[in-house]
Parts: sequence; structure tokens; C-alpha cells
Amino acid sequence: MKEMANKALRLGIIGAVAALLLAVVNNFTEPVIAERMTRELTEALTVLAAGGTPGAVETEPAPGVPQRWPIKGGKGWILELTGTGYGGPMTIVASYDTGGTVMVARLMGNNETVGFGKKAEDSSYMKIFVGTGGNRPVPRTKADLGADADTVAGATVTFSGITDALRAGSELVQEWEGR
Amino acid sequence: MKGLFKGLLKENPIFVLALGLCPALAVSTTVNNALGMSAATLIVLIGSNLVISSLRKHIPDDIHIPAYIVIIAAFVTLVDMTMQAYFPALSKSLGIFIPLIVVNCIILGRAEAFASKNTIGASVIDAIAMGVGFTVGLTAIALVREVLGAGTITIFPDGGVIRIPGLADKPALVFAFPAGALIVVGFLQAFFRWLGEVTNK
Amino acid sequence: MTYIGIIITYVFVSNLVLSQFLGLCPFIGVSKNTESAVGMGFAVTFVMSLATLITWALQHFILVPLNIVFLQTVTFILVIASLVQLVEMVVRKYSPPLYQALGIYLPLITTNCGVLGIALISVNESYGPMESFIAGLSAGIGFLIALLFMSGIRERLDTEKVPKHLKGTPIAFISGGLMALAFMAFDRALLTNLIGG
Repeated sequence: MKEMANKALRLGIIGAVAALLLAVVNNFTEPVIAERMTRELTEALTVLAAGGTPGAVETEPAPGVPQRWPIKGGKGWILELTGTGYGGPMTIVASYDTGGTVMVARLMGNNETVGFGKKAEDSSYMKIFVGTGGNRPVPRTKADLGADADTVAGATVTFSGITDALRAGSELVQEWEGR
Repeated sequence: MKGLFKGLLKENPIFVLALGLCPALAVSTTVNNALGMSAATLIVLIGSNLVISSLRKHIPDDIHIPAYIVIIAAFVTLVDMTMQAYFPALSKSLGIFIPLIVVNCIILGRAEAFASKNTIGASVIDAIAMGVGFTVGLTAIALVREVLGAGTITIFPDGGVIRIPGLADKPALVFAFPAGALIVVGFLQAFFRWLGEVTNK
Repeated sequence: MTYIGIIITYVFVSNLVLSQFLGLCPFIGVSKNTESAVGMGFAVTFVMSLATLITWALQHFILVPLNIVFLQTVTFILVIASLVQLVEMVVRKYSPPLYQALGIYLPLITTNCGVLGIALISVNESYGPMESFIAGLSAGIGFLIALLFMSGIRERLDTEKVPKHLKGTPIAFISGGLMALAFMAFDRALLTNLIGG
């Protein structure tokens, strides 16, 4: 019995020391991580607002849209959208003008394979969607792209995940704006 | 001195011992990821070997597995937190495979087979030898996969990218996928075997 | 995602071994014959389903409320290691035939990165308890299937002529690669259209 308690004690000490050490380090790294995430978010929103000023965040304004930010002065909306790719869910953020036209689009978190869906992280990839959604529909298939089709060659799943999400976002904006 | 080189060829963890395969394949899509993963693994290896060998007389035999796991997991979490705070891009591309260093069989394997029986100095040298072997293996896989699968060599993500003319425009995408990775490892393993035989003669 | 969606995802589309790079060590190490592949596969499936459920509870009732998520890796791996020990003891006591079949594989499961992997994936995807359990179960079944196919291939390979340096694990890796190529046909978009997400 005494031997048992001795072993438990030793294991307990190792565990306690490890937990304590991690708590101390976490104390230093946590604020750094939090600060970086806020900064990244602000930077991303400023770019997305396309000259405007982003307003306060609202969560879950519609199913499939975890967050939205209005662009001040009724200039449009910034939406966080989720799409499905090869590696699971992808987070896409896009800003729309009041007519539902994509102004800026960015692919944020995803698990797409490097050299395949990863290509979608290039800014040139997302550029092909800019200007679509209002008067010009968001491309449904690669064939709708015409000359741009080469940019997205390969990753069909990633492509349809992105277009589906962007199209849904455009429709939502048009609904909110009462069109 | 001899001990330092055993990890390179004769006891290369990836190609000869077939240990630590999951991270080796998962993050070997670019050279940059491979180097980041190797550095993280090396730090955890050195740290856990150091602590385990210095505590070897104080850890009773029948609780050694949970004790080792706690020590290793603590080092992994340390590396994970530091990376998230100061190397966010790398941490993002290595993702779930950083916490998974815990179950990298090289680390628990070396703790059991070496650090639990040897002095602190010898254990640290063993950790470095194994870590270097792992780095060489991982980088070799990443080099082949990135050149064939993406037509590039990424040493630093910002500006350190070498593009290979001809391949960068039309790469063999299959090498970026698990299928290609497994095939590359198979052939590299055979190559290292052959190399081991040739150098032994 | 629906339960059927989760099952199809982890058994086929995101098969742990063939598309997520998890659990490769036993995939190569324990696939020399069909019998041991099946034993290992069932043992892993069992541990994975329990582990995802328990780590879900741990994450939601202890780590998040106490604000100690930084201990996630440490606690998860400890839970898995103790679970494996517990399963071993229970099986040994109550079902000696099962213990004979699975016993030698159980200690190896702690260092199977698939178990910790699927537990972390379930937490990252914010699955509920039932979804986590099903994800663990299907990931295990996916592992079992991959291991079973692999052992079949390797039993055949034993009787084939293989170049000297490719014998053993290298040719196993290459065969595994070709199998993974076949699994790439499980296209997520196709399945989404079939079962509606």
C-alpha cells in the first residue's frame, strides 16, 4: 500500500510540475496569440471593406454564415461564409456591395492540399469572383469562367465549395437589401 | 562521435527503423514545413531525453509509461504554444501534426530504449542523432514531393521559393497527395537501403 | 453534418490512413497477415469510439470551463493511455478469448496517432457527443478497412518476385500509395450531392 502511494505521489509530482510549467508559459504566449488574431482580423476587415469602415460584428445572422459586419454608411456587408472542400470545411470571407456584387473575397482557414486546393489561397484565384453576384451571376462551373478557367484548373471540389458559398452570400445580401 | 552519425544512415528513424511516419508524410508537402516539423521534433526529443534520463532513478518501472507520456506531452505543448505565438504561419501549416508529435513513436521509443538506461550526456547525443536523422529523412521526402508535386522548393515562404522551370506550371499533382507521398517513401526507403549497403562495403 | 455524412466521410473520403496520414505505423507494421490486421483493426475501432466520447466530455466539462485548454494535449494522451490500459484489464478479466485475439495489439494503440488524431479532429470540428462517438467509430472502421486491404495485398506480395531492395516495407508503401490513389475517387462533392451534406 505504501509503495503504491509512493508511486502515485511521484507521478503526481511530475504531472503537477508539467502543468505548472505549461501554465506559466501559457501566460506569456496567450496574450501574444490573442493580440495577433485581433490584428489579423482588423487588417483583413479593412482590406475587405474596400475603402469603407467595417462596423460591429453580428454572429449567426443566417444559417451557414457564422459572422457578418456591416460596412458603415450602408455601403454593403462583409460575410464570413463556410464552404466544403477536399480537406473539410473552408472559411471564406467576402464583402458585397448593396447589390450583392462581390467586392473582395479571401479564403481564410482550410485544410486543402498544397499545390492543389491551396492554389485558392493566391489572391489571383479569388480575384476571378470579384464583380460577380449582382448583375453578373457567380460562376457555377468552370465553363462559366471562359478565359479565366485556366486559373482554377485542377481543384474542382475546392472551386465549387467556394462558388457555392459566395453565391449563397450574394443571395443573402440581396435579400437583406430587399431586392 | 560515432553515435552522432548512426541516425543518418544505419539507424535512420524514417527509412530504416520506420518510426515517426505519420508526421513525416503529412507535413512533407514543402521543404519549409519539413524543416519546421524537424525542428519541433528535435526540441521535444532533446528535452524529453534530457528530463527522462535525469529522472531515470526516480521513476519506478511500472509507472514509467504514464510518466514519460506526461513529460513528452508537456514539451510538445510548450513547442506548440511557442510556435502559435511567434511562428504563426508555420504553426498554421503544420496544424494538428504539432500536438501529434506526442505519439511520434521515435520519441517514446528513444525514451524507453535509450534515455531510461543511459547518462544525461549520452541521452542528449542520442536525441540529436535521431533528430538529425529524422530531419534528413523528412527533408528528403519533402524535396522530392515538392519538386515533383508543385515544381518549387520553399525554403522560406516569403521570398525563399525556388521555381523549377517547366515543372512549376504543370506539376505532377499526385505527389502532393497521400498516394504520391507513400510511393515516394517506398522508393526512398529502397534507395537508403541500397546506400547503406554500398557504404558498408 | 448528418450522422450518415460523418460515417461516409471518415470511412471513405477522409480515411485516416489513406487520406489523412494518421495511423501509418501500424498500417505498415501490423499488416503482414490478415488475422493480425483484423485483430488490430477491431481493437483500434473500439478504443477510438470510446476515446472520442471521453475526450469530448473532458474538453467540454473540464478543460473549457476551467480555462485550461493549454493542457489539452497532455490530458488527451493520458486519457487514451489509461483507456487502453483499462480496456486491456477488462478484456483480460471477462473475455479471455477476446484477450487472446486482441491482447498483443492493445498496448500498441497508445502510440497510434490515429486515436489522438481523431479526438483532436472531433474537438476542432466542434462535434457534439454523439457526432464525436460516430466520428471515432467510423474512423476506426476506415482504419480496419485500410488495414484489411493492405494485409491482403501483402499476403499476395509474399509469393511475388520483388526486387531485393524493395522487399518488405518499401513495396508495402508503394502498394499503399496505389491504394490511396484508388481512394481519391471518393470525391467529397459527389458524396455531398448524393446524400445532401
